[in-house]
Amino acid sequence: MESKIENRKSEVRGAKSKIIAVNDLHKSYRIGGQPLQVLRGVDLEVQASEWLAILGRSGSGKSTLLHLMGGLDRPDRGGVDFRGEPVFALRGRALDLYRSRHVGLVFQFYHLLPELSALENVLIGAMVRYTTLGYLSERSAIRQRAEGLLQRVGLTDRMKHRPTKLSGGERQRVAIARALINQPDVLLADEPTGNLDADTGSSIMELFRGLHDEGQTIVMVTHDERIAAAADRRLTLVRGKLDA
Amino acid sequence: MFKLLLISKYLRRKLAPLFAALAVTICTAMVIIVISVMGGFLDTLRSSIQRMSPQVKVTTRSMNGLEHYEALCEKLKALPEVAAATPVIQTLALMEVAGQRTQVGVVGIRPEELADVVAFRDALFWRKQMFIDDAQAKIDDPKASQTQREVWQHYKQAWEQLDLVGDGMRLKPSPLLVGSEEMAGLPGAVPGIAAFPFGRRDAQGQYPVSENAIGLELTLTVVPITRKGALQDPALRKFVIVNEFKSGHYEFDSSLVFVGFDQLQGMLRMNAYDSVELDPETGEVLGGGERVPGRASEVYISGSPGVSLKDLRDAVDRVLMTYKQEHNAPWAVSETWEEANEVILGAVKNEKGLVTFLFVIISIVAIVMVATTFYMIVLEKTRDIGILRAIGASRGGIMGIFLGYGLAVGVVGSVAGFALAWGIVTYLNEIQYLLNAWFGWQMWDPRIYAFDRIPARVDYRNEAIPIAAGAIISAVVGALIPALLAARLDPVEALRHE
Repeated sequence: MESKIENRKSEVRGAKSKIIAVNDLHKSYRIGGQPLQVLRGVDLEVQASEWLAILGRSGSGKSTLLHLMGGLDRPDRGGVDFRGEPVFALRGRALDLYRSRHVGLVFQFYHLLPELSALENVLIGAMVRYTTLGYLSERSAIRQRAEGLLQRVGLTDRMKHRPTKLSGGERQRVAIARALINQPDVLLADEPTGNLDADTGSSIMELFRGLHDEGQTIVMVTHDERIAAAADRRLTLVRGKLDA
Repeated sequence: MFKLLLISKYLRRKLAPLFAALAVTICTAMVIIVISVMGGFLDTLRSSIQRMSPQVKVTTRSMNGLEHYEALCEKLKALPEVAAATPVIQTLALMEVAGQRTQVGVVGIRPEELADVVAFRDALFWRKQMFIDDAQAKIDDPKASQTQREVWQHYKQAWEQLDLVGDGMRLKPSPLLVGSEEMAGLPGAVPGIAAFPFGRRDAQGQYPVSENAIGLELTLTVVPITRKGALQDPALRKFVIVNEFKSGHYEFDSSLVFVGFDQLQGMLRMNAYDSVELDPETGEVLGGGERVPGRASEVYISGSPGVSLKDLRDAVDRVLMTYKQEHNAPWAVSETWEEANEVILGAVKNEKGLVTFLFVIISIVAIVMVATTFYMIVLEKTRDIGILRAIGASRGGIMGIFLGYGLAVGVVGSVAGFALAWGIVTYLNEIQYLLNAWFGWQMWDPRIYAFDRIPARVDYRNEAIPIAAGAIISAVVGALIPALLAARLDPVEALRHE
């Protein structure tokens, strides 16, 4: 499937075509021995270069949906197609490669590795994607790209700083740079401003706007309507289903 | 690549890997040190026993002795496998030196022949150079007066004339060292250096020149036993100590005295004689005149260069078979040096095995400590594992981080343990001297043990390197379960981990 995805990637890049299709997605959890139905048949299509915002209250299943789209979790029923290929048909390393090559994940709590500097946190995304020899052969190009991304998110002078020495906004910028290091087809952002003050949140949205203008497909979940307003299209998750 | 980056970062972090590495270091060092000391003890014991034990001996394991030992020696010497053979006589005796009486084992020997079979010549302790050096030290002493220097200069010149090894080999006293003409005419004796009831070692376990017993009169009393087993009147004979021997094996050094073969044979009435048959009523000579052969206790044999102990023993057994038939000596048997000393060698060997086993058990603690430490690290790093899985790291990659981490901790701990053990084993005696000097604590009292120094050596090929490698494997095994747990973590759950 990987090769099929790669072959189609060049055909559809830049064109307004379906990149992700979510079909009748169901997901439940067991909490205290009781089943909790979170998603009850979600259907969704994401077009290439689209910026989609999914709104919903806390606990509505937004993050679960995003995790399923990112191949981090498996549904009870239904599926996710990426460029027409079912993601959950992938197993093992193929699914790992889907996560590292085709999607970039940004989390509310940044999820940076505390032992690594800002630059290393960005580079590790590429290290995970490539084999050791592959990484070493591309090392200078990758490093250049990582430094370019950090420059792009305004952290030129903070590259060697560890996450604990960075503000919340700066950490989120590092997380965005990490998500972009492998030039993913889709950026999946889970409440990217949820842990930031209004001004910092706005600056992150500015960053997303710039990426979107360059053709980056973005799927963002948020509970904040003002943040969602920046997106091209907004959907609301209510009782486990999407409303337009 | 990310695995190497994270391993290097985790290694530099906090105390957890340090403690894990420290556990591996201590356990590695502990096992290597114990095996080295016990192995050194066993090696030294073997070599010290070997110095004074023949490779193979022919014995009756009784007090009857071997007749026709000369013929046996000649036949043995004719074998290509045999380098030398010599008869010896052994018995128990009462020894009196300087008014002190103790029980010893007396060995009647032919020194020149014995020196071809065991390291008798090398075991002779006192050498003239020791006396010359001692005299020179006294002469060089800045506190010495001119008169004292002249006296010591005189002694030094006298010592130059000595041939203490020669005296020992001839079992004849040097006139320079005995007080009277009567003593100069006495046969020589070479007692073990620790055979006296009074201790003569200094704190370092050495025997100072001033403590030599050369020239002292030594009296041996033995009880002859007839061929039929009847006790005879004790035989007493005076000797002069011409040298002392030190094999390094305390059992020998503390209980044996070497004297001339002929003297001891005579004392025990084991020499050849012509039989006489008397009338029990009148005492008249009725007949006799048969030559009764002399007896020796044992025949010591050494092998030719390159001949294995087994081949030597087989060759001796072939000769012995004929000898037993020809001379009606069914009890004569051959015995290797290992068989003759199997009790003590077996005890030390067993002790080494037991102590090593116990320390290996203790070392399992290292595995448990590494496992515990890594489990704690996995718990602490649960969210990091979720992040790595979210950005595409495989389960194998996650497992690789923790196994690699275990390997790195194992290598660091093992190398440090190896180095620590090498340092301690190499300088063990110096360390104990320092401990003694600083705290007055002496872990190895050379006045008690058989050896002057703690006999430790590192056997790199058979012991130290396998142990160090085992420690690395143990660390990886310790990291295995936490690594499996880390790899099995659900990424979404891991990301939610607080």
